[in-house]
Amino acid sequence: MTDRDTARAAKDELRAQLTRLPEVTGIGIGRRHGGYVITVNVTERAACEHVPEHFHGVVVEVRVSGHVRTLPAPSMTQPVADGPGCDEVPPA
Amino acid sequence: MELGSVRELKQSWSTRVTTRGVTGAQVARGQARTAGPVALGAAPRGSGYALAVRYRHEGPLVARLVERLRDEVGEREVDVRRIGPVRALTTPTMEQLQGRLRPLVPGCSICHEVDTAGTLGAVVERDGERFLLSNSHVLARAGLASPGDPVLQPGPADGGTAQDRVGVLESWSPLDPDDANRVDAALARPDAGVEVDLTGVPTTTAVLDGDELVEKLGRTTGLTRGRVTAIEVDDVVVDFGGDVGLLRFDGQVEVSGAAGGPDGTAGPFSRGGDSGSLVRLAGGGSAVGLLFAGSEAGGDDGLGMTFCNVVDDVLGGFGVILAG
Repeated sequence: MTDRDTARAAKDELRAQLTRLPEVTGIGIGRRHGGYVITVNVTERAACEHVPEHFHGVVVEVRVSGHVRTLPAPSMTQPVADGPGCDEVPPA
Repeated sequence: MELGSVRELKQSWSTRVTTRGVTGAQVARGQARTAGPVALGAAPRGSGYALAVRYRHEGPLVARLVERLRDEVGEREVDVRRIGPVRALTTPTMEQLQGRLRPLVPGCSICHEVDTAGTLGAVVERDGERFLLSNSHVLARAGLASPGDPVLQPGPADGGTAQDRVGVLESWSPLDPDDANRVDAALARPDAGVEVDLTGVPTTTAVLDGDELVEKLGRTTGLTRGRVTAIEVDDVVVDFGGDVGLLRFDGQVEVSGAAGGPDGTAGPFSRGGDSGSLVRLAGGGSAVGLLFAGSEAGGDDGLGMTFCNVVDDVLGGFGVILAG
């Protein structure tokens, strides 16, 4: 079982190796079953193959997260995603 | 004292206390207990208990009662505290959170006057002065605003106008486009007379281990529960949109939605408009984060991950503490 300090040290080293990958959008540590793993977030599934399953004996968990954005309320003038287009609105 | 002794004391004093200062008509209507000036209970003290005396407002009646209790029971055997008005802990509805709320409530819609809407996270305090806390991209247009700009409740996206001004922008954490950031936060100075209902808010903070259940109250999704899925997350690239673009954050907290919200089902921990929410340990625990960003996908539920600044980084950056 990996402790927090060991996972953190391994994360820092793996982070240095992954900086060249633009698809990586976050690398941290997470608690699983009493121990710690390294977590790597990527924007696209294709990037998963560049991330090892283990690093210095620590399990690496890769997740496809897409892009990360701030979370303000959408603008009132912003088009509503997945809403009906103008042509699809039934006549009143 | 033993717990049994405190119970006996409480019983014997209960009638005397609740009928002090109460009219005969109130007693007849059964209002004597609600009109009583103090509440009695048992308070842990050392290895035993003391008689807990709690009162809402100071006054001559309470002062006389406390003095008599101390005389008869003993100074060391009573634990006297002012608790102010007590209200039921109800959670505001989404409709309420997105509407005009006075007094303000953490979780309600708030924003800079020319932006959309985010969430009021907390009230913080420094040298006796109080400020409203949310994200920089909610109150300060991610650093593009000016000190003194009006802050509205509700935010413009929820119909807020100049008549809904509740304060002015005070300060914000700098956002560096060339280096790692840790905090996206801003403070607003409330206008005179603007009050905030702080019933039940956390006044302490906690350091995360990495698998805790947490909850937040936000403008868009209301009260939701999540699980911390990662801590110390570095190189989080966040799209701030517009003129700010992509910024990198280190030392962040990642949360996924979890079952256990008000309706018992799992759902997204956050959505657009929840930025600025204070994240706390589930069950009304200590504050742990300030919500500021989210991903399109991933997370335990596949509904996206939420990212939060570490609350101690936020508070430490401004030199403030949570107000209660």
